[in-house]
Amino acid sequence: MTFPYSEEQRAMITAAIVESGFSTGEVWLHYFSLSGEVDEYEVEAYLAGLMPMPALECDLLALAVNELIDELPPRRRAPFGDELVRAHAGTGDAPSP
Amino acid sequence: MDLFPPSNELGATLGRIRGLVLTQETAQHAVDLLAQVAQETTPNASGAGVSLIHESQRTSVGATDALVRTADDLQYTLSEGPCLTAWSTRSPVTIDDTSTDVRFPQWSAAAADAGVRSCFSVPLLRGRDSLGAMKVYSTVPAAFDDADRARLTSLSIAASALLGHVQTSETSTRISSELRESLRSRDLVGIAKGILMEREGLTESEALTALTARARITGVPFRQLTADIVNGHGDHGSEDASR
Repeated sequence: MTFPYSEEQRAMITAAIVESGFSTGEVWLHYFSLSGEVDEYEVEAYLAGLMPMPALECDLLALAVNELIDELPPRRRAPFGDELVRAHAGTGDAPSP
Repeated sequence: MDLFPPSNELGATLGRIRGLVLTQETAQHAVDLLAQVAQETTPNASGAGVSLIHESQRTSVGATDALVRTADDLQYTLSEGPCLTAWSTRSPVTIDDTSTDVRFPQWSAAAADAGVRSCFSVPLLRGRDSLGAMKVYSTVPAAFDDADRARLTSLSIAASALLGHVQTSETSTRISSELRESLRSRDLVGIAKGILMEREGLTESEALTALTARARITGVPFRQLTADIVNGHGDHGSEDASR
């Protein structure tokens, strides 16, 4: 059931959830939708390091967390000057000199 | 896998749905009841209301009569008014006369037209959260004295404790539609697993391992990947050829 790095995997899944700000409930619901078999209470216990989960379920949980992270809006990017000039060129609202 | 029989998580899910439906009704029932109590404890009030507010949007409202409802609706169409301010500043707001008060010019004018002359609004606070506001209205100016305000403030503390435990209707609708989505998506995974088991002679867990591996390699969301397999069934290997 467990492999040598299962504790490292658990700790890093937990860290990823905490860092991205998802609640255990949100993560569990997505994991459940990916056909996760372990119920919410036990997933919470696993994340807290209280009980192991089958390796495949751990990977499914990792997949669920990663998909949620991928759906987060990307960080805002800073525009370059010419990008703004081009963006405003078509709109006709050229800045007054 | 016997540790986690399928009935377990289905039971948990159904429990959640049932619980949420219940809390949605409870929230409406609670605000209606609390509006009633607010009016009964404030003899000078012509009407009372309780609103639950989330991100400047009202999620549930209880009102004792149509005038309260009108005055409350005006705040959300005009985006100003005593309850919104009580909610956002976390402190009570008193308006002694809507025909002379200058803090909410649009709302005061419209409320005065509708017949509301004075009001007192107190925020519903629970820890760091501001849940909404409870208010009393009157058709005469300066209807509420310090004793009325003190009583309503005490009532608001008890009301907040109660309302903090019920979900707003918006949240529960959102969650139960997420649950329906999630059951549908789970279903797709089950069908996709079955297709792989049949087509490639895999066991259930081998099929799931193959699916997760494919999701990792292609970066395609699991739901879409399984939906593609389900929709492409019969068209052997087409989804494999494209990736």
